[in-house]
Amino acid sequence: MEARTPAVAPTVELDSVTVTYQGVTVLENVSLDVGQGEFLAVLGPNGSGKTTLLKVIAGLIAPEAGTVRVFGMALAALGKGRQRIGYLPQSSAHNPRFPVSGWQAVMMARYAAIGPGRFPRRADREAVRAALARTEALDFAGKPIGKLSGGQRQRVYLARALVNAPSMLLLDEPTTAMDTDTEEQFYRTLQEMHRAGTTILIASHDIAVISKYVDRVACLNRRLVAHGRPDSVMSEEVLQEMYGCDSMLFGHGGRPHMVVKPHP
Amino acid sequence: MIDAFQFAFMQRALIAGVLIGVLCAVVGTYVVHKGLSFMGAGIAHASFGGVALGVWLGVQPVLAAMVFCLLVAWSIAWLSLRTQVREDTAIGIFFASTMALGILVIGLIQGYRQDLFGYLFGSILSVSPADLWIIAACTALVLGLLWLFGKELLFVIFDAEAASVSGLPATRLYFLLITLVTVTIVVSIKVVGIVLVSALLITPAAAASQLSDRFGRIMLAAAAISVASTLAGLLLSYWWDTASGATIVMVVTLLFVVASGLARMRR
Repeated sequence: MEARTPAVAPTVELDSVTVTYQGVTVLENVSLDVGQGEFLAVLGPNGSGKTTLLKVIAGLIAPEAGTVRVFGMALAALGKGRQRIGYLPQSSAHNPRFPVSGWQAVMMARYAAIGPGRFPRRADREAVRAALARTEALDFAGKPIGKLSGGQRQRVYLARALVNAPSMLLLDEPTTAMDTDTEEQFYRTLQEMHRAGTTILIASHDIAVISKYVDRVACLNRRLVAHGRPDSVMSEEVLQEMYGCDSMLFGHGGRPHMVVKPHP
Repeated sequence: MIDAFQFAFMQRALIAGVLIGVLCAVVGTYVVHKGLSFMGAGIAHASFGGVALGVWLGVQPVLAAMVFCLLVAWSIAWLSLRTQVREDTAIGIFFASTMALGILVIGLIQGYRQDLFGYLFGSILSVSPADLWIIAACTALVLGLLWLFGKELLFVIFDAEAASVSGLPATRLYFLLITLVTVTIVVSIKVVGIVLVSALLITPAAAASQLSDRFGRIMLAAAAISVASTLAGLLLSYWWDTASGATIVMVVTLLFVVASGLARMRR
């Protein structure tokens, strides 16, 4: 299935992208455009290829077949344009006991711009402070990351993804370690960025929460199963194809909720 | 103590010990926090093959070991990054095969080569002025490159993918780190030997990690622990007439136990 024709010029263009890993097809013939300033959720069960899709867009994984263009350019030609991408990997990708402070973890994303043998300048420190303030992480940024809660760490890592004022954010299951309040706060920050024109792609398996915030969902299970506005895409057929089990949707609090149907 | 250092060989041993102590501690802090300890042990053992090849071919053994170990280290890194072979599997293969190569090559060398065993267990007291210059030059080179790229390497060992997306050449930086680790190991084998060098690379940083949760402070504490162990080990081996490399390693291990105890008491 193709997901084309976003309202404005695409920030991301995936054309027939296929990725295999150790002989297993992880993504199969995925074509998807993401418009400038769009807030898109990539939904799917574990192992559906969400993380791989984000890594392909971030230039971390080269597809076996197909083409990827970001900001109108092939990834290989992007060069310093990669700094316009803010990337937040899954929380499990980090060593939580690594001996750096939250402040240092955010400053790291400035190192490419600072250059070898140079130390952070005032502008770098101000950028870090602004990013931490935006994610409301300034109060605890001086602590070692090992002493932060899961939610606090994610806010620090979101600040790191924001510190270079990116045009596009790629967020991989960012709310996994968060409680409900922190999660709400997190999504409010994302909404502000969305309103300011940042393109946001967020991988999630939480249909209920994500549907409230995003413009569009892309349902993935190695292939692109469906795409479109959350209310128009979410159907029991799509869920069946995406999750491979008999499910039903019901509306509650203005959000769709998914439940697995009991076996007769 | 002053008496011990009136001899030129002890003065050279002291300078070599301090230089190697600082070098191993600084590089070891990256090794420990990237989880490259097994890689360090693998490269150290591979240097046996390099030294043996050097002696057999009539090439300066440390130089031969340097070239050989760089090829081995880059091969391990390449295999783990570009193929389906896991890093620990690649290290395991090279660990044994390069040692086996060394043993085979020794069999081809005419006569008994006692100096080869000096590389196995270290001989800090026989550091020559030329050895000292090599150690000083390699220390300056590695620390200079770390001054230039230290913060970038820190990002890569913390989160290679985020480093890559931020615009850093993460793969090239990883190869640089492997290269620095290899140079450090090979230049250190004169002091503590092939068998024990990974202790000097890993233990000071591991001990310092018990005492702080800031990378910079860990590096400084590791350097202090490493230099103190080297000096204490050197003096104790002089007074007790024991093997210097082994004594240094036992002292640093004792300091690791003390640091672990202190960390436990603070919790």
